[in-house]
Amino acid sequence: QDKVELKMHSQIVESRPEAEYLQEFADRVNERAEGELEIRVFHAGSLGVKDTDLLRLMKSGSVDMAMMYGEYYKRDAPELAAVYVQGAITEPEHHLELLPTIREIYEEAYADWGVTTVGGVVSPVFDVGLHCNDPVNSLEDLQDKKLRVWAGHLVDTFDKLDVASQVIPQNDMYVALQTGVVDCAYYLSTVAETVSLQEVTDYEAYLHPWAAVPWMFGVNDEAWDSLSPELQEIVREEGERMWEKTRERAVDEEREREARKDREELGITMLEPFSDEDVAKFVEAANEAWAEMAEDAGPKGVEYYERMQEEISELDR
Amino acid sequence: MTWGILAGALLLTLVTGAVLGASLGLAGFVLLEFQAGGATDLAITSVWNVFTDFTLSAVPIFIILGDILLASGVSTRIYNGLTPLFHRIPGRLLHTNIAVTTIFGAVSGSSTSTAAAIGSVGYPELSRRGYDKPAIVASLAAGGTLGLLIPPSLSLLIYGATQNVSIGKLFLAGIIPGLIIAVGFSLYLMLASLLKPELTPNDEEKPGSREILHGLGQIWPLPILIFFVLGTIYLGFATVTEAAAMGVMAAILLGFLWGDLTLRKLWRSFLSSTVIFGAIAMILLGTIILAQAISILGLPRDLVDYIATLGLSKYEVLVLVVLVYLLLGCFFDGISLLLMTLPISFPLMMALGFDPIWFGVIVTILMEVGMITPPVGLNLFVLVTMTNREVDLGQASWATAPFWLVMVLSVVLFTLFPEIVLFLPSFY
Amino acid sequence: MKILVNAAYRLVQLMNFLGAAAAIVMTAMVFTGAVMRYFFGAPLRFSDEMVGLLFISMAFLAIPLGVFRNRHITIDILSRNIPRPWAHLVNAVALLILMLFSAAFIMTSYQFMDFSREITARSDIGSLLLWPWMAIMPFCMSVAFLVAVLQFLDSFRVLAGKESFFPGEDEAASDDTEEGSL
Ligand code: NA
Ligand code: NA
Repeated sequence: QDKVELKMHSQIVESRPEAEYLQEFADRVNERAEGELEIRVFHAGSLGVKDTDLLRLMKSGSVDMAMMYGEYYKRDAPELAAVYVQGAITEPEHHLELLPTIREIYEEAYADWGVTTVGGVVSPVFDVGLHCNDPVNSLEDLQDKKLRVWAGHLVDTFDKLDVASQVIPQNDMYVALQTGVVDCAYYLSTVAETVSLQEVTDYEAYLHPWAAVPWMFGVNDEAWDSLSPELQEIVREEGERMWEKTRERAVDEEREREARKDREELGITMLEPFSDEDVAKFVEAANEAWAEMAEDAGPKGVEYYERMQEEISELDR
Repeated sequence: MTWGILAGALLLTLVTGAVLGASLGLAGFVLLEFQAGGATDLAITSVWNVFTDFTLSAVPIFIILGDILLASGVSTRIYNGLTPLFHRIPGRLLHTNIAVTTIFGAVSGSSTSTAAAIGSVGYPELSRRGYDKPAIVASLAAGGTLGLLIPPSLSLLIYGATQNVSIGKLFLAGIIPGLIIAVGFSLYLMLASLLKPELTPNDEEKPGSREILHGLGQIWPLPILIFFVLGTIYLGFATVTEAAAMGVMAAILLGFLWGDLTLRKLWRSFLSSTVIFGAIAMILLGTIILAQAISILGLPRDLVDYIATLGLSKYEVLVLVVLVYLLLGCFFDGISLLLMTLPISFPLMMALGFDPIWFGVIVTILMEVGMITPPVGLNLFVLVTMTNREVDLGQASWATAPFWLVMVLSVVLFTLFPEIVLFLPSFY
Repeated sequence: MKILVNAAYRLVQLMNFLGAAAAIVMTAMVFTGAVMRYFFGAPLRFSDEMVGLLFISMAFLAIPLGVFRNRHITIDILSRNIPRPWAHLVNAVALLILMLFSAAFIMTSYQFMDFSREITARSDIGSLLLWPWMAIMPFCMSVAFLVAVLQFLDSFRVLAGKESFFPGEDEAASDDTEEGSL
């Protein structure tokens, strides 16, 4: 029988743990398929494809497989960016409780784009914090700073808190901080070292846990149908296995503590986290901006927003 | 088959003299349609992404800046002022190309912005003074590549962020190699003009120190321009694209107050810069589509993968990796090549015991080489376009070959003496 | 046909004016964005996106004029030494390549635009409707295609010994100095 080769796109760089999990998934599938199927992972965007275009490229069949991240598809499917936002959770454990709903929504939505979802990688719930040149650990301190954020929703959120922020791509962040185009970066503190943030900022203050959209393994329908039922089963099982494995590891206080210690050794001064009051203000602003974004995204956006709100209201209580 | 299509497309381009952007792009479409299972939509998504990228918009703005400086006569006065100073050095004003691109490289992260910024003024001013046209283009194209090596550097940033290497150390590591290559370029220019005096205009009278001082008095707008373009970046006032726009505003002010700029000339500058950029856009279009086709086929990765399977020794692998980058450099430019190959070449080189900082610098030099390797060399394209076809791509490539060689030799030098690269970062 | 060539020239010239206007707005926006951020702590929200859209407009609007005036980069080391009758044939093939490429680009970029219109794709931060900007790609390429067709037809007139309707390279250069009359 002919060997099927599927090329799989992933935007995430190999120094991140998510990339290792993805490679493990591919390796295990390839081994079990005994030469009938080979999944070749192209890490760090090395297939030359940008995430913004991924939905339409999966739909047309130009890309066979991809590790998909719903937030990136705002241009083509704004409702997918309105599923989950920063500020939705304030405790890492909450993420695990919301996860089944998030997964359900994305699986439905991807199916509409002609994509079969086979498990995925649950992103580790990293710390999100403010990385600044000056000691900044309150919203008040932030008000006279220029802030770098990673998405439009965050600009809206900080706007409501009277903080001037702008979206700066990760590649421009280092120089922007170094030269002072911005004073602070809102970033995933746990992996700040991979982009050398400690070299251009001195202080760090924790704000909230990362509300991370899961990385789902997507296969376009044409490629999926080219697989025999046995191969489909193998891919499904391994994807599911990776989902379970990474979900168990997603919340890990020990990992976060270690990472924090590493950053302190690199010379970062750890400030007291933002006060509960500030966090509450942030959450409120984020929720307002979330509702607006969902509204702008149309009926689907509102539907997803409401489903998530229902789950969130059940947290803790 | 893929290589056959590529070779066929190049041959057809060469024989017919077809618009290069169109023939490269057509080859890309053919590959996407027949080799990548009809994935032609990739051609447009990648074109859209590149052409709506904020960073790249620095290139046309720098071209506009240069055009305004020319139209207002400001740049002419500055070059007139510099002429006596450089008179005694073989190669004369050609050295300004290297010096200015080096300085500019210290604020710009991109090679093409650097070439565009300096080329739009440097070429017309020098060619008007009778310098050898291909030599002007070559020194600008090669000098422009220094923007990638001398920090800040887009290529070192991406290398550092994707491979988890300290960006600060990489930046430090780029400085000395960048300066060495710049000096190498200048030495070559001296040698070349000693051997071929016709490279520079022959005006015999030697300027005295009075003339030199008088000349320097003429260049006072230069610090103002430098402040608006370079100073604003260093002070954190502006990004590179923004600094280009600052420069345009400064040039308009200088032009009206000190030069002879008129509204009519200003409008004409915008018109002609758009035409120039249109030609650059056409070639970009073709190369983007072709690069996308080659990368979706996974060719660069296959090549590097193949080296890994050969089981060679450390330095044999290095030689092959360098050769592969030089080969791929014919079809790709800079950053796209970096993104496609690093996931394979980085672990391969690290497993053999090469230093990650050192390899970052070497790979960056190889990227730079690619920018001036025909047929697809963005720096060459940008500059050839700016000459209004007074210099064709063939002449430009030929004149650039010695600079190409200087860079390849520098790779050999840094391999023999890696401490040249690793000296500065060791203090970090 | 002379009328068609003239009409095409007017069109590509108008496109050049629009492109230059886009360049002016783009430069002004970048400048204002930096000033607003630095002095007023209020970066323009979607100026980066807008600049990107003006950038692609400017780039594509300028392509047809380049075709009209033979300004695009070629490698003519071999082709310029080809003797006369054959030179015409080779030139026709070169134009054919340009036409084929434009046609492929028009088709795919039209689909890209059309799909974006169907799903009402919007920009990330400013929520700008994107398809009208995307439409610039197939539109400008169509004009480039038409110019290439006219040049293709013109090349046969030249082969038949008549004078070209298109400006030669020298004329095109002198043309530059007269275009500021707006
Ligand atoms: Na640089
Ligand atoms: Na090249």
